Amino acid sequence: MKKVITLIILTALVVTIFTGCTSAKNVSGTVKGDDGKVVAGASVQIGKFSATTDADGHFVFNNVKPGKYILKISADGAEPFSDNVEVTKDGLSKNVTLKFNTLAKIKRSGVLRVGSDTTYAPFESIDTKAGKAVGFDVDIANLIAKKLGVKADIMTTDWGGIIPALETNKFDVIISAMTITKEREKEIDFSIPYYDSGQIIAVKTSNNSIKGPEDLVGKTVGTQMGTTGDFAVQKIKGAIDKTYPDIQLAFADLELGRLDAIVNDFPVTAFYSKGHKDIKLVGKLLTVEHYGIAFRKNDTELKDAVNKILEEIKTDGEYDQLYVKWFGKKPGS
Amino acid sequence: MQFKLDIFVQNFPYLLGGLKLTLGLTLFAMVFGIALGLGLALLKISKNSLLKWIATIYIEVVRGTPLLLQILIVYFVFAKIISLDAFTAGVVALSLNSAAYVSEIFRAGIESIPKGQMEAALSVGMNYSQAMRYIILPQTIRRVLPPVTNEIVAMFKDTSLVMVMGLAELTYRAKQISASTANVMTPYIAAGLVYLVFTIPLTRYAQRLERRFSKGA
Repeated sequence: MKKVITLIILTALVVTIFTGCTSAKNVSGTVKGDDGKVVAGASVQIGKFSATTDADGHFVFNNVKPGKYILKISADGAEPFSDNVEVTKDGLSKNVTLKFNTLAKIKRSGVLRVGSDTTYAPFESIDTKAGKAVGFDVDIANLIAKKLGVKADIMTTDWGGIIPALETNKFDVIISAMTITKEREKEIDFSIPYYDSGQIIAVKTSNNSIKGPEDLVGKTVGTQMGTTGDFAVQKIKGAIDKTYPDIQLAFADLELGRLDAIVNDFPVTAFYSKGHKDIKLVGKLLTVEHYGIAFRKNDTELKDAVNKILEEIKTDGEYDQLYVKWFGKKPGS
Repeated sequence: MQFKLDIFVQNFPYLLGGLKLTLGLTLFAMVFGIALGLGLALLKISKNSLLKWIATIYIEVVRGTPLLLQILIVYFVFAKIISLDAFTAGVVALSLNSAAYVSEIFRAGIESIPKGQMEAALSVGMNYSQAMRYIILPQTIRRVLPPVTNEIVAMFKDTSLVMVMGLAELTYRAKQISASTANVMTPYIAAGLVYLVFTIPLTRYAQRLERRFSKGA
């Protein structure tokens, strides 16, 4: 009998404490990121009280007196959140969405999304046996992702829409043999240069009349639309710039005799002419160009992180290794 | 610039991998396109002039602009509101496009059923939607099957346009192979053959249906 009474008293006590506690938890909520995932470890402040969100992004405050407060929430890589709130006698329940910068989003998802026009060997092309992208740019992308602690997802994209696709958040960066130009810098930001290139003229092996840009006057010259080769030919007065959606089609037209010459990035043209003895490279480089990794404007954190990695791999020899792997020689030699 | 059998053999499996996307896009666009197209057709023949107008404007706008432009608009311009991934954007653009064409097929099909049938159905006490469901539409579906099959064939081929978004379907894979092998002819011929394997039987089927219905009707 005594036991039963003790048990009842104990139960009553537990219930009282329990209900007491629940009624004391009067301010609560969930913090999410604008990627839809909950934010763990965000610091939450209401008046003088502060708390940290748990693994499910929940936060709880006990015994907050009714009144007006400022609710502040912050997390690594997110815009700090601040709002005037009112705690009534029923408490307050508030769900907050934090805006993360792109670098933080990449780390939260574990994936660096890389836009690349994979029709540009040896920088990016598809290894059809493995069914995946390969090339110098792909290796650079994977190395950068590794250093960020994430995986790179190479997303094949058509060159014509590659900048709008970056701007509309289809991926996080462009790594696609893209030359840093003033025009493009109006739309997007670039990393420090990671490859030095330039435009070269290619003609049929049998053609001995074209030796340099001055010989292109009155000639039909093939380029890839929207590339620096396209821009270079537009500047040669009297040359007819015929643009193609990808450079392979221009090479095909040159071999068919419908073009007099092609102006295109030196390493890509050199790679193509290796397998096609009916095409040769002539003259010196028309331009000096530098490839850069492209970011959306204002993705400063990501740009800084990538620049740091680029500097790091250029000094510790990892960059040189990749360079030798794809171009058969050391940079600058 | 010549057909090379070794390039064909080596890269054919990768090319065929693009078929999944091509067929997936066709399937989704077909289902949504037909459903939406039927809805549009019903709006267009409805007595409510507002609904009729909405359907007419939609059909005219979609049929009066190139599909390539519509894909670019869905992918890039819609992105100001909602940024769709390339596959979803492809399905949306193809569905919206085919709905306009399918609706005109359905409208013509419905109007080809003699008016007397609708009047008879109404006079035996059916309401408009019952008459549509049990009398008119079952006959319409038989009649529109051949043109709808042709529309599916057209859509199957039109999926190649999604390559402007970099979707690695059949045509884009041919383009990629041409880049990695530095050969233009082989991959494009190969891709053409794969399309034909699907389109020839489908068009033959549509022709057979057409003959059967014209005899049977």
